[in-house]
Amino acid sequence: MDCILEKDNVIVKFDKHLDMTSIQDAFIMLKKAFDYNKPILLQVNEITRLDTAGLQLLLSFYLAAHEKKITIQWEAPSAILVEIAKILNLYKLLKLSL
Amino acid sequence: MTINIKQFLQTFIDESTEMLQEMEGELLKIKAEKIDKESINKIFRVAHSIKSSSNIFNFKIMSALSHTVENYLDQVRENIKKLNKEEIEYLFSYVDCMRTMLLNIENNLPINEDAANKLNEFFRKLLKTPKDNDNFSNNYQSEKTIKENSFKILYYPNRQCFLQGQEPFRILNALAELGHLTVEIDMSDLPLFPMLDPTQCYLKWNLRLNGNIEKKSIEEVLAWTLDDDREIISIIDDEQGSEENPKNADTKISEFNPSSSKSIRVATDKIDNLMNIAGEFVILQSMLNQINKAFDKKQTENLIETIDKLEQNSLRLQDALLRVRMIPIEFAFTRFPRMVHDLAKQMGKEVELTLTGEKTELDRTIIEKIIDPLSHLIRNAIDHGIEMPAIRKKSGKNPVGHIKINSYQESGCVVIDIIDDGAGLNFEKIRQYAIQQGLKSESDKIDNDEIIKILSHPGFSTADSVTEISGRGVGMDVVYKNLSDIGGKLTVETKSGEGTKFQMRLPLTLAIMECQLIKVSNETYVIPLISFSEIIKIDMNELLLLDGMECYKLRDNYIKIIRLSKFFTKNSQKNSLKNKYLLIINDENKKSALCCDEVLWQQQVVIKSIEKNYQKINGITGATILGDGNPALVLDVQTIANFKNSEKIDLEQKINLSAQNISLNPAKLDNKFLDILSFLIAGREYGVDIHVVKEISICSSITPLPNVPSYVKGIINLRGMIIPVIDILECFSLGEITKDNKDHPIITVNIYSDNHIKTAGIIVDSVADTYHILSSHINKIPDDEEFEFKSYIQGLITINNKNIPILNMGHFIF
Repeated sequence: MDCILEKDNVIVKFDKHLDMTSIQDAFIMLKKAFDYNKPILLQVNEITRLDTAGLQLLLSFYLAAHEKKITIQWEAPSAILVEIAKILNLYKLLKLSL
Repeated sequence: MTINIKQFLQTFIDESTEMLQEMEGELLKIKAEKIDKESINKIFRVAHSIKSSSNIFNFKIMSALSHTVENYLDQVRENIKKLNKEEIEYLFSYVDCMRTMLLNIENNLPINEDAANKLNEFFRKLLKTPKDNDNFSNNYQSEKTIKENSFKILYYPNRQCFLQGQEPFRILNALAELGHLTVEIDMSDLPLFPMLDPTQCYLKWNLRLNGNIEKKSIEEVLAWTLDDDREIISIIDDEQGSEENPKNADTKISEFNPSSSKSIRVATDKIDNLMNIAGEFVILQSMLNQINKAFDKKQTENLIETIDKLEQNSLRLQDALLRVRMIPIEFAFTRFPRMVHDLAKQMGKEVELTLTGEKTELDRTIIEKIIDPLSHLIRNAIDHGIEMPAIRKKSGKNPVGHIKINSYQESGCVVIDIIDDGAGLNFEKIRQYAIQQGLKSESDKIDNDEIIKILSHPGFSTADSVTEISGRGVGMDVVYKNLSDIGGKLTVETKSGEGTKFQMRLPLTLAIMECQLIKVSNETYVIPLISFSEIIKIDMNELLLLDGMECYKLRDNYIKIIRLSKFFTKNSQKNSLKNKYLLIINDENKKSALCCDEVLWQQQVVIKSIEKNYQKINGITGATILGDGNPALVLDVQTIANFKNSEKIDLEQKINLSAQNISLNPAKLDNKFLDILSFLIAGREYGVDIHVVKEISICSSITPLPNVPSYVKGIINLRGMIIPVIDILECFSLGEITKDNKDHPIITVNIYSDNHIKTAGIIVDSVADTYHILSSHINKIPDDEEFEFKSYIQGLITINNKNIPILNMGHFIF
């Protein structure tokens, strides 16, 4: 995972796995991104393994950003992310379709 | 921070092993009885659960095979596929294959994929074959027509569910496969992002499921989610009643939860630690009792009351902890139906097994130790006991042989009977064997009591041929020894043509035992009550010499006398037996008696290991700490009864030979700074690496050990730990530091060797100094120097022109 501070935004690049094995790392990275108080681009195209914990983390982060009026953008959500978000009825809430 | 999923691996292995055990039990039921839908459901759930959990750990082969098996079982449930003998055998193979893989995972061994792939292929082929439901109505009832139903499901996973390997999205996915699922997410518990603990689950789901669904199907999916009562699930069948308030959902749990008894997994080392604390409690109470005896009773009413309460509490604590260690004996029994099934098939016999008393509880350690002996007795019963069906029929018996294993409690012991209705033991063959081996003469008769001794003779076998199952003559001696090691007993009754009954009599626990305290040559010893049958005071008129052996006539039996004083001391002088006592023991049905000076009282004792810090000592089970704080040896009566003087090995030599390549503290020898603690013994200064020194205390009392080198002065109680004490001077043949050992400092050291750490004490005259040196300053003893005990010295350091030997403590102990 990587968190890159750009001029206009922050890019958070996710690895292949966003599940219990990497959840703490992802949490730390997202907190870091959150603290920059800039629009955030979530590069989630490479995620191939995801669980409910991972999705809950994204949801919590997304809601907090929304609260703080920080813009969140998804870059090419992977198929697994879309599928699990749909199963858990979070697809619309996370605005993954946009 | 990354979560190490491997920390849950053991739980996965344990749970999967338990589930496979359940699956095996259900498969055996299906085989023996008609196919029962509930059994199929249970088997299905096992495959499903293993599929999901193995996937979490990325065991792809396990997951793939379980997935195929699950699909096949699902089709069996749906009455699409049938389940015949062949398929049942393949399901048994699935159980075996999974077990092997789990075992390999546990032992960090590679998984053999071939067997799993072959099985997977078999089940895949089954799935591809046309539907065979037309032929499948004979023993599997078809389901009633399913109506369109609507269910509201409140799925509130518990907070720990992620850590427990549960996956809400998989649950929802599985529910969606049943019908049309509407999902409403409840995020009310989700904390603000910075406060989030990402490993906890805060989400809840309110679900609506419509379709041709049976309530049971939903329950099956949700059954996986229930792990404890913090998880709230409720199902409302809209057709059956009004919706329920989720707050009342707790009441629905019991209806749904397949297991009403709650259990937790606790590592046995934690329980052992608790047991130690409880043991200390018992010792403390015993010490207080002793102090109380010396007090003026008038002034100590409160003390007495307090002691009484302490006694009650300590016994309650001990009892409660013992119960934690106790598990039902079915833990051992559950493997036998499969074993009997396989062996009977292999032998071409028909055998029915009945298990009763499976709920009888025993200490886990004992259960683990009796599995092999029990397996051996069952194997023997099938191979040698139960006859072939044709022979049984000919002799008017039911062609199906019967083995019954029954367990129950009796007189503070657990008894296990293994009864078969086979041919019975062949007395003539046993007699012939006994004569050949010189155990019996031609004129001797053999009865049930004596059979066990012959059966337990190493190499005994009456089998005409060696089979894969038994007949090699290896086993009954091991069975007998294993049971003796845990203080158990084995007896046998047999009737020709009618069958055989073996009976195991076992202590409830190994940790605490009811014991008799005795005195021999002013030392107190402890004997488990289970080891002897009675105590008598010697009547000098009944003493006699037979073949040069001291014997005692008791109720027309001649009993060999074993003088404990001779066993424990090197003194061969035979004192008068007047006023002494005999403890009568049944040693392999041959009676003998241990002679002691005094019989004290009986009490429960906590048995502690001597081996942990020293070595196994013949004739000693362990040690216990008495009320005065001193250790006392717990005797291994069976070994003492069989101990011959000629067996006494040269322990001095054994220890010298076994002590190889043991360093002071290997980690410290790379030219680093070392701190050396020096001490004086008989005016000479010696040293040890200060890192191995645990503490320095004053010696109060040392309990001597039998049959150990003379420089091992005995054992002491170091705050509940039993450690050996070494007299270095005596080891180097320079004399003896002290006769009574009292009031001398004892330096307690930890000794490292390979993976073991042992603790021992060195008796010294006084502690001298500490030195901070470089490890390179430790000089080796020159090769040309003649010094018999060179291996005991790590090297020499020179301080103020004095050569100080640095001791290699490992050589004294390992």
